[in-house]
Order: sequence, then structure tokens, then C-alpha cells
Amino acid sequence: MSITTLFSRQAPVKEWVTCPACGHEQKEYKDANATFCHACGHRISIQEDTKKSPRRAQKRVDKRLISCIHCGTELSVHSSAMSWQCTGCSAYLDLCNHEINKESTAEILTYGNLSVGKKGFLNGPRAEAETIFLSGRSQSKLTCRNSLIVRDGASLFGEAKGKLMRVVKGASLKTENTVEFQTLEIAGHMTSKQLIVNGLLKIETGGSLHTDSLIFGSIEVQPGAKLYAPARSVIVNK
Amino acid sequence: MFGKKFIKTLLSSGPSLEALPYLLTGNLSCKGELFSHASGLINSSFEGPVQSESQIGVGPQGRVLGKMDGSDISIEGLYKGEATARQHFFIKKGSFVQARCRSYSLTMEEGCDFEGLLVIGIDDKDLTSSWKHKV
Repeated sequence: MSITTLFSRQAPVKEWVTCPACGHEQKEYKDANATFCHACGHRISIQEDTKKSPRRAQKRVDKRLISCIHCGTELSVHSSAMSWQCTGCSAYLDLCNHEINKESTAEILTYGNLSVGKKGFLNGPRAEAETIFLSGRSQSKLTCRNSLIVRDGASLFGEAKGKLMRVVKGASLKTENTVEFQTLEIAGHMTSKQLIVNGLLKIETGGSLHTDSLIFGSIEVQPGAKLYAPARSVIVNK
Repeated sequence: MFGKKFIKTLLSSGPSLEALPYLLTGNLSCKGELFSHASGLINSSFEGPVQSESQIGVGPQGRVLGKMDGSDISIEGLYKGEATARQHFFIKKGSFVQARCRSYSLTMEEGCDFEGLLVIGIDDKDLTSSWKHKV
């Protein structure tokens, strides 16, 4: 092999590779078996389906629909975004998850989730989130766009409303104000002042509910569960 | 205490009232005291205590006023009074109930019209201890 042949050798061919985790595109040697994404560090196993030309490769961006708390405008936001600005009223929209492990007097309005730890105390005027995980206390007016999950020994002094509320097994909840949900599932223990369940109230085996007033759509109390409630069905109010 | 299949059947569709033999039916209006060893369906008006060692049903045309005691109670018509089901209490869609209900387990369908007190899964021992102050 002459020296000229050695120096005239061409560099190995490179191809565009798309990261399956974040959609980042980078050039890699054609014969490579695996590499790491330069953007997110994800290990990419290079197979035929990941080798795409950059023109054909389409970044997969997960989006979700939200409606502005302030003006109600429907917005399509990136699921990984931390905040957004409403195109209708220009309001700042918080998309972050929040965790409260001490007293908080702030008003929390987020499209993320809200966790209130055992020592956490929500003492602001109101809190609105996608899903609220409650292990501590809350004096705020709670609104859950999705669900309220009660764990450990929690207390609700303020009002609460939303789609689904679940008191998990082993948890106990005491409420002092009106609680209104579409569906309520109780596997733990709950005592409340006034409870409005427009859909199904389900008390699972081992769970108990003691309330001073219950308005319900339908009820299922499984064997081994306990319920004590002066009650009336939703239909009575119509 | 109960088989899983039995409980599943009770919670899903409830006991079928059609399968029950009639205790009272037709255009009747009775007053008195009704006791039955077997299961039975009341599909006419009755005023007074009803007791059965098995299942009692109040059909869609049934109107019962008074105490009711049975192992399973299903209501599809009108009922006013105080009912105790040793096992399962089932209140169906379209029924009208004003009662104090006690039972081991309970199902109330959406569309029933209920007003009263529910004491479910709480035995007398519980009632006299931790739940006493509320009763």
C-alpha cells in the first residue's frame, strides 16, 4: 500500500440519526451500532428505522390542551413546557408541578400537579391544579381539574371540588367544609360535614365514611365497608 | 362470609326481582303484618311490618309503608319506613324511598329517589362505641 493510497482514503460515510427520546438529530457513522444523543444523553441503538434524512424526520412533540383559568381560551401547549402565555388575555400560565412541605400562604394556580406533604399546610386563598396529592392540611379553596388523591392523615378545612376524589387505603381525611366531586372512591377513612357526589360514591372493603350530610348520584358500599350518613339522592333536588 | 361470585353478582346487577315469587300482587291494598320464611315480592300496596328470613323485593308497582326486615332487600317501587337487610340492600333506578336503612352492604342505582339515613356495615357494637355520638 503506497502512501498516496493511504492519504487518499475517504472518511467513513455518516448518516442522520434521530433520537427517539427527544427528537434531536445528529450525524453518526453509517456502520455504527449505537451512540448517545448529544442533546439528552439518551442511548440510541442505531437501526434502520432511526436512520432518517433530516427532511423526513419529524420531531414528535407531545402537546396537551388546556383552557386559560382567566379567560377560558383553549390552548395547545407542549407537555414539557414549564409555563405558557395565554394568546387570549396574555396572562402567565404556570404549568409546573408544585410540592408544599411547610405552610404556604400563596395562591397556587397551576396546570401541573400539586403535592401537599405530611407537614405541608395550604393556607392561601385558593389552589387549583390538575391533580392534587394531599397528605397534610389545607385551608384553601381547592379545585382539581382531574383528581384529588388523599394519603396519610389529611385535613381539609376549606372547600374542595373536582372530578375524582380518592381516599387511598390507610389514609384518613377530615373535612370541615363542603366537598363536591363527580366521583368519590374511599378505601381509607373519611369524616365530613357536607358531601356532594354527583356521580358514584364507592366505599371499598375496609373503607368508611361518616358524614353529616350526603347528596349522591349513586352509591356502592362493598361488604366490609362502613357508611353513616343522612342522605338524599341528586334527583330530589331537581 | 359470602362467596366472591355471590358478592360480585349483588354489586353488579343486583338480585333479580323477576325471579322472586309474589307475596302480594294485583290491585290490592292491604294492612297488617307480613311474615315469610321464603323470598317474596310485593307488587301492590301494603302497610305494616314485613319480615322475611330470606329476600324481600318491592316491585315497580309495589308501595310499602312500614318496617322491613330480611336477608336481602331490593326496592324498585315506593317504600317508606325503616328497613334492615342482614346482607345486601339494593335500591333500583326509578324507585322512591324515604327510609332509615341498615344493612351489611348497599347498592343504589343512579336515578333512584332516596331521602333518609344510611347505616351500612355498622353493627350494634360499633353503634354503641365509636359511632355512638352521631346516632
